[in-house]
Amino acid sequence: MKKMKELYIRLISYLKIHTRARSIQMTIVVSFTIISVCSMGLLTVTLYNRFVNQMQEMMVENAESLLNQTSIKLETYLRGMRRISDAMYYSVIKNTDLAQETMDAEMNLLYEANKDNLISIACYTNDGRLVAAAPVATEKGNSDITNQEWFVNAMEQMENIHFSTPHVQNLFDNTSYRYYWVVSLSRAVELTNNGNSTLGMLLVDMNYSSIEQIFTKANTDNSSEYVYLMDSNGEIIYHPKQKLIYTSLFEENNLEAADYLDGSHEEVFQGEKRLITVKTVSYTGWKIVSVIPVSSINMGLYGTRMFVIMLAALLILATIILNQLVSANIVKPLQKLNDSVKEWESGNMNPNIYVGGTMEVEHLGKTLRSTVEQLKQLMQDIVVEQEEKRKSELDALQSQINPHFLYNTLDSIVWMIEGERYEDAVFMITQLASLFRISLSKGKTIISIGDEIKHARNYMNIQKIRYKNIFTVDFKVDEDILSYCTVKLVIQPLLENAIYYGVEYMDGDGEILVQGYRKGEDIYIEVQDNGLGMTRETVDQLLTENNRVRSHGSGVGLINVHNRIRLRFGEAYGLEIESCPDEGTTVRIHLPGIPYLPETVEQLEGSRERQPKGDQADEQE
Amino acid sequence: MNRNKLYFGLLMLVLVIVIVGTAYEMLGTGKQEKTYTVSVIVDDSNNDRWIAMREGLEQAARDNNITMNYVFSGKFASEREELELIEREIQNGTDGLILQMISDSVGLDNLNQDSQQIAVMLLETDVEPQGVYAVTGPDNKDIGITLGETAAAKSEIEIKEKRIGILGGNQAQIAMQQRLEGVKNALEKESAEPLWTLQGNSEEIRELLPKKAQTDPVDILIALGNEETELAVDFLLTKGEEEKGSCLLYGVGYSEKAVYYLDKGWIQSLVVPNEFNMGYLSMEQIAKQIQYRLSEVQGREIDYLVIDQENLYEEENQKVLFPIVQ
Repeated sequence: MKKMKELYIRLISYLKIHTRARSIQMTIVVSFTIISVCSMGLLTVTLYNRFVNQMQEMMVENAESLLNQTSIKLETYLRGMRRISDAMYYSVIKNTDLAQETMDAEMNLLYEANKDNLISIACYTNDGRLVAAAPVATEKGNSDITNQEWFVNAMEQMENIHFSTPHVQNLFDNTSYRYYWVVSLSRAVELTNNGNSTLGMLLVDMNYSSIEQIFTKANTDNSSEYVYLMDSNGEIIYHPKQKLIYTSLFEENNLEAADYLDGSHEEVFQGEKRLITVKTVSYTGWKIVSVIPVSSINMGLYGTRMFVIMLAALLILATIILNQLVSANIVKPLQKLNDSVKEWESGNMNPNIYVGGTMEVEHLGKTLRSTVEQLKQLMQDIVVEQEEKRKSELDALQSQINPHFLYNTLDSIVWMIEGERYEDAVFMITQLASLFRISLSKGKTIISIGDEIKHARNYMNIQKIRYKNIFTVDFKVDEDILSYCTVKLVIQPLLENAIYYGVEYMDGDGEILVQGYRKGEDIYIEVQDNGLGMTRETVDQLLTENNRVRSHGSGVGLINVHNRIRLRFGEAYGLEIESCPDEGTTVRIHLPGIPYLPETVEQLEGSRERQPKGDQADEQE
Repeated sequence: MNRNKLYFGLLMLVLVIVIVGTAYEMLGTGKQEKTYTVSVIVDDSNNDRWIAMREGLEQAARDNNITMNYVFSGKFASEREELELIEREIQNGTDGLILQMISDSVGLDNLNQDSQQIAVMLLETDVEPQGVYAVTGPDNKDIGITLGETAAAKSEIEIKEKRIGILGGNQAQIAMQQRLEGVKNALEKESAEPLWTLQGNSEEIRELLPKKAQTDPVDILIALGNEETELAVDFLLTKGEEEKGSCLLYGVGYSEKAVYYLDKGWIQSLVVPNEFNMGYLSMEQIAKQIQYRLSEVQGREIDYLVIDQENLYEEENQKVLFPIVQ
């Protein structure tokens, strides 16, 4: 019981695991198939069993019919033999006084009339002396009549006619060496001798062949079914394999069958299941037994069984195919809809949403399609909003530079005027005017590197005056990069930082080197100083939004430049800083190599940011 | 998903195989099972001695769905005659042969290359070289010993005091040689010795026996075969009822004639091999060999009865001795 429970639990868990995440079609096909197969299997087995039962009943009926026919023939034959015995006794023996006459003539007459079925008729006295016999034959000298079974039985129950089991007749000499198998019909009779009654014995030896013929006809069928005859004690009188039984090559369940009542029975004999039908022959108590091995019924049903299996297999096959078709019909629209969703999930924002199939699926498709459209609109709105936000952010960053720079420059001019250095102030204002002209650049944010370098030079000229030439500036810019695009005002903040954090507080001569060169497809502009330098930790924090060091100026220069370049050209570009304490700092501007042309400028001005590097060439083309 | 497709494909494949298989089986059901033919060749096929054996052969043929060809033959004059008959049956396409060979040196192997393919079962007696073919028959030496011992047991005085003649019959047969050896061994045990032994075919013995009995009369005759027993009875009958008992006859016999004269008291004891079993078992064994294509088949030893006048009509003996079909 415990094992059964464990098995049930295991089965359920197995099913739970293996039925999870199945497709709808698979679920429908498997469920329908299981139900169909079970129903058909049940139906087939039920019908087949019904058929087999009917077949068995029919065979038993046939057997009973055969037994009845055989029984009638046998009874007719035995009745005939009894009539001979009766005729002999009542018409001949009772009317014959042996002292005066013989009964030979009448006996011979009776024998001749029935000799096809008879071997002999004989009459004996109660001490075994032969009174008369037909056909006339020499009696064997060595036969002890009174001890023979038929004689003993008749003497024991004188009122009855006795039928013996088959035996070889041992009464008369037959010079043709013939020995006959007979069934002896014996009865005690009253012999009259000189008016006195004495006990005698009348023997009618029936030819066993006559009985054999009756049963041979009943056993003509070649199948393993057969009919046999036995007496009431189970002694076999006829059996189709009689000789085999006599020589122990075959066994019959006759002793057990002797106890069976008339009708049908089932038995298992030597491991074989058999249907037994018994019919008792009147008067003699003999039993005719029909034996039908169940295996022979099964053999007869072999073709039918094959047909049933084939039919079941065909039906299952047809059901599975039909299930496939039906489920495919149901599931196909759902699968198409699912494919549309998968396409959408994979990143295609314009999926071709399937609308079709059954009413429900069509409704789902329509709803999904409108949802996708709404989402798409929503996304576009978000993109525009973000774009606007970024633009305003960019503008804000751009605007941060102007007051910062203006504050510094005006501070320098004020400082010059206060120091009555009017020429320097005029030079400075001239430089400032040039600087503002470039800064304004008609509102553009993208300018050529040449303008940007010029802007840087203007700025450094102003700063050099302000800082009394405590540092030197050197510009080493390749001529061929001057006609490439850059975001404006990216060098000036770096120079400002180089002065403030690099060379301002140096004891020796500060040197600032501005280099511009092209490397591969990209352009690099470096601002290098030999100032105080920074630790690695400080360098790492410089380009992060939340670590601004505001010791001088606005303090937003580097991060501004970095963000502006990245916003315009992409994440791959921006600033790179290398610094070592007491050795100096190099800030490198990394820009894409985009020629300064009206169309590219226009495109760059309109875009939020640069496409990845791979697309750059396409844009240039 | 792929696994599902695999299972689905396998299921469909199984169903198709089942459909094809069952259809094939259904078509095969109506076909008649192949019937094999087995030819039976024995010496003097219509002799009464074969009645019981033939009954056994027929029963086994019926039970095993074999067509039996019981070849008509007269008395074989020579081994060549028997060999020709065997060859004819092989050429006729028989599937098996059940043979009673009249000589131990017939050279069955040289008969026909095809005979190597045909199932062969020998009845009663082996051939040289011994043990090549299966033999279904009694233990012949044991039969000889039983005959000798029965004669000794039934003798009123010690058997060594008696004059004994042996009808050895066809000593070209190994069975007869073994029976003779058995009889001699049994007599030797009783310190008896046969006065003479006649060998040869029935005609020769029929001719020799009266002369030998006249020149060297014997008290006991031991006949080793059915034919010899019948010959001995015929000889004793010529001496008349008065001489009945002057020469006691012990023999091997299966025929109704032999049984009849046992019943009449002319034969003291008969050793009766169970001929029905010999026929049934030989056919059953060869049918198995043919139907199940066995490379070889085992012969079977059959039992025998010792019958005298007293136990002739005992129920169990009747069942073996007397054929039911008349």
